[in-house]
Amino acid sequence: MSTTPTPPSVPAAPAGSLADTILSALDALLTAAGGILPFAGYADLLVKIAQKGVLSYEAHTGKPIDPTLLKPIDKV
Amino acid sequence: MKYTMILSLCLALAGCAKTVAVHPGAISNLDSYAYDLLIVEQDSINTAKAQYQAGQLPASAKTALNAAIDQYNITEATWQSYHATGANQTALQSSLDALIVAVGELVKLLPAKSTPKPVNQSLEVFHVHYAYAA
Repeated sequence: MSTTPTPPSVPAAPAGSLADTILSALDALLTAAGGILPFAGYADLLVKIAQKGVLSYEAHTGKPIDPTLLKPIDKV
Repeated sequence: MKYTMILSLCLALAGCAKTVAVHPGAISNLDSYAYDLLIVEQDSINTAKAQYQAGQLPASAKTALNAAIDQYNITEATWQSYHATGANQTALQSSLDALIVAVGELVKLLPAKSTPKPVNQSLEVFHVHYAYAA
């Protein structure tokens, strides 16, 4: 593969928030690694998974614990 | 050494200024930390599961994905019990450690062909970032 992988777009997060900072860092990391990643698809996917986790965390930071947000997951 | 480097990277990139607060209603730091970790892992696993079901992950990811789901379910049930009663702290700590390992194995499997280190590191950064002081 001769094409340089394109970094994934970063979803919007509140400016200055932890999510915004980490997502920016992720974007920078992927950009820096873009030229050496032969399989950009997996990299893109993993970054999006990571981003989802960070956004999920940011969304509930500082809020009271809500046990109903955690649910069992069915296997594939 | 590996985690020291990752943590350093995290501190440098994220500014290290934000302290992870204990959630209102938590019975302990462990309770709050476990809740955070489970929220993140639940979302990560569900995202990976959706990608697998959409055919975007290799078939070899199924075993690791199911192992991560099993461990998530065990940890979630243990946390629900701990949060409600304060019992089984040791079991919760062990289960959290196992969950981090299981999700780590899943993440390691996915990019096996390409070894996109920065992405792996970014997920590990989350685990280090959310580490709590017992």
